[in-house]
Amino acid sequence: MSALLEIKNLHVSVADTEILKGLSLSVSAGEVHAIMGPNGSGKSTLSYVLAGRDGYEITNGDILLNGVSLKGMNPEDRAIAGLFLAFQYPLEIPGVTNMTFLKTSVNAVRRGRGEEEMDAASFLRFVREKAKALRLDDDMLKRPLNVGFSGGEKKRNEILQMSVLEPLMAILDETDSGLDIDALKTVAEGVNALRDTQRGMLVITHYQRLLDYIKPDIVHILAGGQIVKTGSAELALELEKSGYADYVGEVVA
Amino acid sequence: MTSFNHMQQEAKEIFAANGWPNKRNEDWHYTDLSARLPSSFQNQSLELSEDVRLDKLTCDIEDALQLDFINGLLTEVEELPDGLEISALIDHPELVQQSDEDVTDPLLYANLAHLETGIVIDVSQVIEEPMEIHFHNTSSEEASFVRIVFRLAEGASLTLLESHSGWGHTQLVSDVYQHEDSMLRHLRLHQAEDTQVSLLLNRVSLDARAQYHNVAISLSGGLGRLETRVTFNAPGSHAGLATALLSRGKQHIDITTRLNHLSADTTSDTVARTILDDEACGIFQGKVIVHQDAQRVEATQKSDALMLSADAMMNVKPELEIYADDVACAHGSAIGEIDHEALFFLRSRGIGEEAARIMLVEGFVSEILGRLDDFAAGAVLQENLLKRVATFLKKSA
Repeated sequence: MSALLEIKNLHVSVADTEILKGLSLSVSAGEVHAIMGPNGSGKSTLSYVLAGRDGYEITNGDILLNGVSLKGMNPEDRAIAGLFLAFQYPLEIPGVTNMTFLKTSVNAVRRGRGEEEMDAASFLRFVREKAKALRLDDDMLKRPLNVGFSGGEKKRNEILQMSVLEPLMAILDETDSGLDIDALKTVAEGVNALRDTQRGMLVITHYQRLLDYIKPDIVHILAGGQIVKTGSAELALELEKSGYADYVGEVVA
Repeated sequence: MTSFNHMQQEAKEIFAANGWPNKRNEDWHYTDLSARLPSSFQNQSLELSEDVRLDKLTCDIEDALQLDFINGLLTEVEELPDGLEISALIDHPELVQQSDEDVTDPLLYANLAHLETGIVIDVSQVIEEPMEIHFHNTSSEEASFVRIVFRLAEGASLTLLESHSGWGHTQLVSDVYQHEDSMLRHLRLHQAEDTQVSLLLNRVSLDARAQYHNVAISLSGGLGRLETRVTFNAPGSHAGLATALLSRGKQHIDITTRLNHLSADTTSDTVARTILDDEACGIFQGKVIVHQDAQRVEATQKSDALMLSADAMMNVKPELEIYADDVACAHGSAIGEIDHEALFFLRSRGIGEEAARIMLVEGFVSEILGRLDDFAAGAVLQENLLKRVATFLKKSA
């Protein structure tokens, strides 16, 4: 079976500085991969370049989603193609209610996929059900997008967006950052509920803690812009004990 | 008592000698009219045009009261409810004299010199129905000069919807006298053709506990000045001024506010949101004056501008003039571009770039539209205005 997401020898520069230096990995449908790495290893660059943010230049290599190259594809078309990035720092957008945003987003993606748009009433039912599963109350749907939301609410709201957009491939960028243990559990539950044989996930994190709750099939260690080691879930536990020092050293040497 | 005709004659002489407001007057530094307007207007129509289709705010509000000024003339007035009365300004020269006493704005003389229609609207009780006053010029040769005096009796209240459309030149002076505990909610929609000149001066005088809430939306028009001056005469009076200015092409729109806190224990809140595209020029000059005896005044003023084009220009002049020592006043101003991170966030959720930009801009002005929550038919008005804003942004895209 071919991979859902395939990253081949990816080199990425930001403002003429090379950050990713030949990163390769592939995620098949139904798999959850974790990428762990120290600060400055290129974790955020990887998530942004996957989502298509401006300013991240691919100088070599390729990213394929379902066999289609994402190079040169704009962010909205990647979302339509089935890619989803849960942001490390979700943006606050004053004046736009969460509900309006969600509906616009879902219908844009449906339109792009050639599906019929949802009317207001059926969307309301649809989103309420999804929100309930994440313990987000109605009030949070009416409020401006992420404005005044706590760290946990923002992250749960990201997972809500993921659950309504039903992506093929989800990238979770440091989803555990800024969360206390209860919020972390709720978010992880939401993510686990979205695990699916058709869906791939890439969980990017600095700490092993998140992986206690979202159990990965495969763990990669990212250092110096490359995957330096790949292993099973146990690799994360090892790392928790020994730290990143060995891997950082490896690359420098 | 000086007669109305005498005052008008005097205004004509002063206007002939001084002309339009220009750079020499500090208040008009950014909007020099002398370079932009003819020295006089010859083509003032005295005939009403029939069959004008008006795009009014109240098209979908059933019980609204309507006054239409076409080319500066008041068309037929329907029967007014109890508590509302209209009379001719020419019979109230004292009102003209009183309002102009301590104001030397050259625009007033221009208005009085050319005045076509002057009316007085007396509000003596709580009026539930919103009242729309619509101004429309039917061609670019038309010029309208109108003056309206509103008098709100003690405890009276009114929702006033003022809207502007069409071509030519419109000059409106509105004087508002609010007695104790009265409330005026005033929406001003400026949406004229790209060649129109609109000079709208609004002067408000507040007695004890009187409340004045103004929401102004400017969506187009070639050259415009929306000016509001409020005088706080007695404790407990409050004014809230919220403006959304959206401008494109080569438009020049000037928002000027003057809040004159004469009395202690008065409050004001000014917020302006400006969006400029193409080569548009926006101006916000807001001044808060707190007089020596006006202790415990609370006044805030905030201007934010969003620049959609590198060729647009924004001039901001916030001023606080405070002579009392126990006050809480603040002002702030920011000019920026669309937040690229927010744009990326929306696009990453499948929303196309243009739709995402429109969404961010709508979000930016929504705080202003939110001020209509307490207006009669507020929800209908918000929906109506949001549609107009969306249409404007799509045209702009």
